Amino acid sequence: MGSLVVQITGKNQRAQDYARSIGPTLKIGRSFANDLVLTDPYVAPEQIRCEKHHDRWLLSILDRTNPVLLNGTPVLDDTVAVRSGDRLMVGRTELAIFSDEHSVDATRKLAARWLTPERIGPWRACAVLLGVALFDVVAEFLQSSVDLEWKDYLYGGLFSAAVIVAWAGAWAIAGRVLRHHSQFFAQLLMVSLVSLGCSVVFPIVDYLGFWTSSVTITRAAYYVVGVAALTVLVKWNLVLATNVRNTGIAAFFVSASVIGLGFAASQYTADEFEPEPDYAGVVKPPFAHLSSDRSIEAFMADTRRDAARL
Amino acid sequence: MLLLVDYWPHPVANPPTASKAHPRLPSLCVWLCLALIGGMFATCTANAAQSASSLFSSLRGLVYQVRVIDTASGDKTTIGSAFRVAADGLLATNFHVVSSLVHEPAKYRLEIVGDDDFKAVATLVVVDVLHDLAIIRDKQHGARHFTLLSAALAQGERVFSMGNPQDLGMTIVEGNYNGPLKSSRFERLLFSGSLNPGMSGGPAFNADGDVIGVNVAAGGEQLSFLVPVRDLQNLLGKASIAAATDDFKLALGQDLRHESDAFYLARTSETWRSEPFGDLMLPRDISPAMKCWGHNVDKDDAAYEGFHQHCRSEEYIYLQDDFHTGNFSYDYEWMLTSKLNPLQFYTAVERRFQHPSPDNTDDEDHVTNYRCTTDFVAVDDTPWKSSICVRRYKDYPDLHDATLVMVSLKDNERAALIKMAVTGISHKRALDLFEKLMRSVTWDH
Repeated sequence: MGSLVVQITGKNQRAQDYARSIGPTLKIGRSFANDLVLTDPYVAPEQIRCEKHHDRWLLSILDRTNPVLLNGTPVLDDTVAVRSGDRLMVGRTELAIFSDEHSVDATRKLAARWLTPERIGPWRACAVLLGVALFDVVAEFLQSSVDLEWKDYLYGGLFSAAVIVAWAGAWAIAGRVLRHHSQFFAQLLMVSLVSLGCSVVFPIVDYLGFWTSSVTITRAAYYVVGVAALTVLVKWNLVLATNVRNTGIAAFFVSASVIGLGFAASQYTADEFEPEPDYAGVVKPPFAHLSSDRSIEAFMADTRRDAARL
Repeated sequence: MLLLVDYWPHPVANPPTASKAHPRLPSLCVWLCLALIGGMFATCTANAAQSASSLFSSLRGLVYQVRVIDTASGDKTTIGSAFRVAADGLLATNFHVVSSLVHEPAKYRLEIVGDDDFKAVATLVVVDVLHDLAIIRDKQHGARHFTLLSAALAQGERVFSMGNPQDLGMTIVEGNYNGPLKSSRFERLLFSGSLNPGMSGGPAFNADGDVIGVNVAAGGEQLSFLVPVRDLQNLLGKASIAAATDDFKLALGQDLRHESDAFYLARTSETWRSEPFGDLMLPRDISPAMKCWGHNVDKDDAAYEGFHQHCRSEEYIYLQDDFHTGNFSYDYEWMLTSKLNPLQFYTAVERRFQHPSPDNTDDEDHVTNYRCTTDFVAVDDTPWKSSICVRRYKDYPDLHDATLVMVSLKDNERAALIKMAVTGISHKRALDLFEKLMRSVTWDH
């Protein structure tokens, strides 16, 4: 074990300060004569002295006003040997002890280099948000302006933009807390892009309902696409707001559980009485009509079989 | 014309004239009804008034108020009227007056109250759900009873009706006989007089006091309906051989089933006449017992133009206060647009692609959930998106409600929708009917 590195561990395992041994000793305490100065009133002015003995580092506890915990257990002896990676609790301060030979993880690649605050900036993010909201308004208007005023579509667009801003804002607050970086505009950009993706994909699911004429398949497709969309969204939220390693897997589990709960709730109410029929009521233009038509005989045979099962 | 259009959404037999005990009895209605009867008497000739008063005094002892008593609270839940039809204590009333007793015999009992505060316990003998009739019996019977008229009546003849409207006391109403309803599935006589809730089951008789029908429903001002006396005679025949029972539901279900089987077999085996509708040839006048109404959508601000034909049977069979059956309706709709782009037009059509609601019950005690089959079906070499939903009655074997909706579009600017709803039908008959309809659809080349 070479020289000793003692880190003050802050919130979320973030090192606030550290000291490296230069000679065979390293002193820790509240007084300014120490190598690592702790600002914790529950720590003695001279609290711990680390000494190197035959390639091992020994800790001497110099003050017993408060107990010193090594990996969670109180140190009762006057001296104790430590290994790289040990955790020490002194007063209200947590310390991490490392040898300078302690191996560190390989460098993590940034998920997307273009997704940095310098590159995105408020204008680009807002422009994308505006574009997405406009796309929604225009797409909705072109598909269904049978009896609604254009104002209604505008309000709809404003509402979806507000939801996007609120979602990005919530994750920005999470990022501020967890990573000391809000990354608000990066969040806004990603949420807007995922929203755009949803606006494109969900109508395709409607088409699937039209092709198959099956309520079950349509509903299953909605669940699958819902999990996929939420996974992508939460993955980017996690990448930007946390240091979580496997963001994709974490996001998938979160999305699958949220949508799975929704599915469970719908199954729970599935047996309830409905005075209205539940059928595949999607009507789309003929270019979306891919499957071949049944003959009247075949369709009526299906219907007779279904009715007989009532 | 305005009156007709106003009138069509309300089926003829809509307000059964049994009066439900209701905490909020609309006092305005009572006042209006009184005013109506008073006004009518004022328009009658002096001669008629004399005849009505003598009839009333001679027949008042033969007409009773029927009370369905809730055994738990000991108070009446439904009231109607009844009249003596035979010497052995048999009285006639409406099925809808006693239906709660039929469906839950343990919870209710029957009581008749005479004009002179005579009170007696009555029992149910036999019911005819199709014609809304029931025969009841009390033990303290006298020998006097109404005679049933067997001769035919001429249209316009004077007819009197008795009953106890709104629990206000026995009354007599005068009006005119206007013959049987043309093309009705469940025969009814038209009585141009004013029946009110509570008079259900009371007798309608000619100036000699011979019964011509049984009060059953009111359709509007001076527009009332009677069950023909022939149906009462048939039921009386059954009453003499009926075994004492508490379970009327089984026979009731069988009656419904037999009648609907025969009615829809006739519909599927006859030839339907097709007529142009938009670019289609569609069968018209599927059932004579239906009234058809049309309207079109061509306002300047409408996004699309179109027209409808709605046909519906305006009579139904009363089963319970939240459950009726025997409805039959279909609806053709033609839509075209020059203003909407294809996507918008398809959205407009999709909104109309809905199953017709028979609106006969929304209580899970009576029916199962609908089971639907939806697919593209080649009809006259054109794809029609078609959907059929069926639900089963829980209390009556092999009776169902069934609905059909089908849509086809041409050139992204014209659409045809066909809908049909049938209640109280075996699923086989329903699907035969729908199949026949699908096979009758052709494009007018």
